[in-house]
Amino acid sequence: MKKTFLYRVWQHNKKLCYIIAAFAVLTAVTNLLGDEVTPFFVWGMYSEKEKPVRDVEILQTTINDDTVINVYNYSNGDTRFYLASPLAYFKKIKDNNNQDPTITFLQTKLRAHYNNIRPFERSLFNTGPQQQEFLNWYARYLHQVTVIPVNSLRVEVVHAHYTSQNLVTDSVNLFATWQKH
Amino acid sequence: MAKTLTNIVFYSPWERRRIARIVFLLIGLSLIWSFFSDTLLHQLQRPVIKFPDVDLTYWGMHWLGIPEFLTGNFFVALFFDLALFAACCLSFWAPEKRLYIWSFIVLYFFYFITFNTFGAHHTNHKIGFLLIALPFTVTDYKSFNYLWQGLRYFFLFALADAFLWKFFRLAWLHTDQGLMIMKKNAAAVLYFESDSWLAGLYHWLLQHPGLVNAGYIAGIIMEAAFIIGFFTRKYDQYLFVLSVLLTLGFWLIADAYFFQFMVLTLTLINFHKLYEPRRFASNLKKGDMTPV
Repeated sequence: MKKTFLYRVWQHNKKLCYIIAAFAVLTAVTNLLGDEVTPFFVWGMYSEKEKPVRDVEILQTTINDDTVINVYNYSNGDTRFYLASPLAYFKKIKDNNNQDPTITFLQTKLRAHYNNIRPFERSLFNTGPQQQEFLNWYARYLHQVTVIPVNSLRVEVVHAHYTSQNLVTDSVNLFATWQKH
Repeated sequence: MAKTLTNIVFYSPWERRRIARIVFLLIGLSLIWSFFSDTLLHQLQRPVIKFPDVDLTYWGMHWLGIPEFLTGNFFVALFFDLALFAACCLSFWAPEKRLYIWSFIVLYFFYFITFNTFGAHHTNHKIGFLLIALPFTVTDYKSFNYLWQGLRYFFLFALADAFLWKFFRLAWLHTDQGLMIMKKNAAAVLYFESDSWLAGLYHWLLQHPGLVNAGYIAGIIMEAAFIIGFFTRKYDQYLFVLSVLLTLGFWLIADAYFFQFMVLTLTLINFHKLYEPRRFASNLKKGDMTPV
């Protein structure tokens, strides 16, 4: 007992011990609840059973009708993250009948209690204004990354499936377009 | 003089200063990396889609309008980025000044939340930078050592926790779990970069799914090994190697960049062993006798 880390901290400085213990307890609680509250992190990624991957969707952006954005041209993971992730989330919103999936999730979980969150909807989630402004932002950010003036955008959804050794494209459907005014 | 109390290495103020220099040098390099990846706040071009998810800290930040304020105006964002760089440089220059350290922590916390929420995903790879400056906020060297040790436990917990989640959710029993994770994350590489060496490797792995699944199981076992670190520091060098292997595995199978999180592996290194011979050597005068 006397050799334990927390006991030694307690002997040295009780306040410091309370802070460390509180951090550990709150981290344990968020892990038990499975809900992360920064900085009490939950490290459960890829622990859930993965669904069989048959068909996949890939988002492909073309600027000015002639330049296809290959996110893998940017070896920096953070650039790729910003090029791919907000666009993917925007598509999730569109696929969810223009409703932010977080709102749907909370409505399902909380049912009638969701009414307590409703007043904060506009500041916490993506309602109309964010969705309308998204492609304007995406064009600006693409300009920032590619240094090409962006006059038009075309976002397509590539549908593909896996064979035993490859990925085969099935179809390409238009998802969204944007034109500079 | 540093001394070892059973399994805790106590760093002297001299060593603490040098560790701080390494930490803030790495943070500075990561910020320069962020500049070249166009992800500093002034480069985000007033983002709009946010993702606070169900994290109450993000909710609080958005309710106060902080991420929107910091990115809504180019000059505010630029000022913020300059302040973040300045806080990092000042902390590197004078790590004993708590004001600089606290300034850095607060600014980096805002950057961390803003980066994640407008990136529409709560990434974990910057968590190391968010927490690693905390031990330098205390003045006495003993408290620093306990906090540094606490950070080591945090790092061990992160990987051990990843194991526990997979263990209790029976992820290790699911057929083709590793292969499904890879297929989900490799699709874009196979589509956009079908002729690259990485796509070639994925093609080969698709034909050898057993290897991918074995890699996933090996990863779980490696994560479990971090539990040992709670009981002894004896194997820290091996845990360091495992953390490098795991980071490479996350990148290969899940296309996840955890390299920045590796900053926390500094807590596995015994700096006393690295510094003491150098200090001894620098104190020698010309002609002094050296121990055999």
